[in-house]
Amino acid sequence: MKELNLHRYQRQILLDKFGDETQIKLLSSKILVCGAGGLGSPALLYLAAAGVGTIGIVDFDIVDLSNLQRQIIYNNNDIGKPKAKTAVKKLKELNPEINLIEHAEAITNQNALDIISQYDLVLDGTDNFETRYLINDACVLLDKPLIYGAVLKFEGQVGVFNFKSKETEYTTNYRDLFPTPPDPKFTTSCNEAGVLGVLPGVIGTMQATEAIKLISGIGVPLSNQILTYNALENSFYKLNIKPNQNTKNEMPLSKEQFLKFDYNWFCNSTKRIDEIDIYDLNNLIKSEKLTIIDIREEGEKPDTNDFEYLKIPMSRIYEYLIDFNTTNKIILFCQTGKRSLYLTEVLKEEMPENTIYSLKGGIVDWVKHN
Amino acid sequence: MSLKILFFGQLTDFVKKSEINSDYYSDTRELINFLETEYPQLKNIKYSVSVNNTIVNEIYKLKENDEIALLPPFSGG
Repeated sequence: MKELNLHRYQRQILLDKFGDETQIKLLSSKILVCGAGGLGSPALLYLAAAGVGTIGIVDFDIVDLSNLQRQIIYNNNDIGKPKAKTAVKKLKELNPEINLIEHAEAITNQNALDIISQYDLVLDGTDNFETRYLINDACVLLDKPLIYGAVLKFEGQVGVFNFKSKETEYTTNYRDLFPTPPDPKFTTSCNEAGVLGVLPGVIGTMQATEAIKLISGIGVPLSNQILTYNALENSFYKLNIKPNQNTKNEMPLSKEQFLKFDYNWFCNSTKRIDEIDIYDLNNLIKSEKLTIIDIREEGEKPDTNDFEYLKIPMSRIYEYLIDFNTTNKIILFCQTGKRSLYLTEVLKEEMPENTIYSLKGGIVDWVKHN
Repeated sequence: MSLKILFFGQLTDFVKKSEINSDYYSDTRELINFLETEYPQLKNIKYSVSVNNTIVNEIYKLKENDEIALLPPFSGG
């Protein structure tokens, strides 16, 4: 290591619980910031200023005039320049003693594991759901803490995922909080809905604070929690997150699965309107005539006597389809809802006149709750 | 007999308030049925539900004076 000039960090070394040792921890740490935008700008500036020894910056974008209202690492002369490279240049001017690594590319499931594995923790400042789920899943697979932040209009969220603190016995991640992405038809982004420029400043700075706390071990991190901030009302609200067993069925559990996982499909498909849960089914049974079909192969358990259903194994569904004629809503179920969802999507194309749903959670979920 | 319900993000646009009090409902499913009848636009939005500051993933029994929050995801950065 270069000879340390700790005078730069004197004001924080003075702090109780900090000292030279904690400063050296920061100088030895490696943090990846995904997205050098509204959240990334303040986070990067403070992490570099605080002496985080290695900072990686992922961003494929270039600086646009409309970014400058909140992306305070850039100035008017930077318009049209690549963000990752420009941010590196600014941070070098701020603190030449640290190591800065530019990743001027989009993070994808093909490069995420290689990039993230080079760092101790990740700060998510990206601006879309695909990338947020992707970064989350990569961090879970690689067991890296993830500092999450998101903003819209006048409100922000910040939290720490995949980090086991002294206070907690388990870890949680983004999918425990939001198991499935919202329907893109009904979401709004900052491009459409706007964002108060100072808001990502507040949230990005909180993300940097959490990163410094995690590395240095001081204070209580927002582990397994999400904190919301409303700038108009000056209100904070903190929520605890518990592990959600159902999310394990949806996320890639190995490197191979991750490389094949289609995040674009996951966030943009219409699958969620193809599914009903056991409570919807309960209501439907009471209110209308349904054709419910068990598509499991012969001999699969459990069974139920709670409602009437046909048994048509998925492997033979086409033999039955030929003279299948009903105006009833069709509900398909299998063991856990995976095969029936797949089949629902296939059959919707074959039988566009019919309304077909897959039972989410499958018969296992039904039996558990009835 | 009442529940306190807090709304976040886009949900406040539909409800026009960030906080309401409702009659008592015995579980989160019943409460959400009521809210979706009262504010139909909620049906189109994904959100997580918490009871007394803890996210609940399944149907959750409610007690009088419980505080329920509806938190939508957002992705801006």
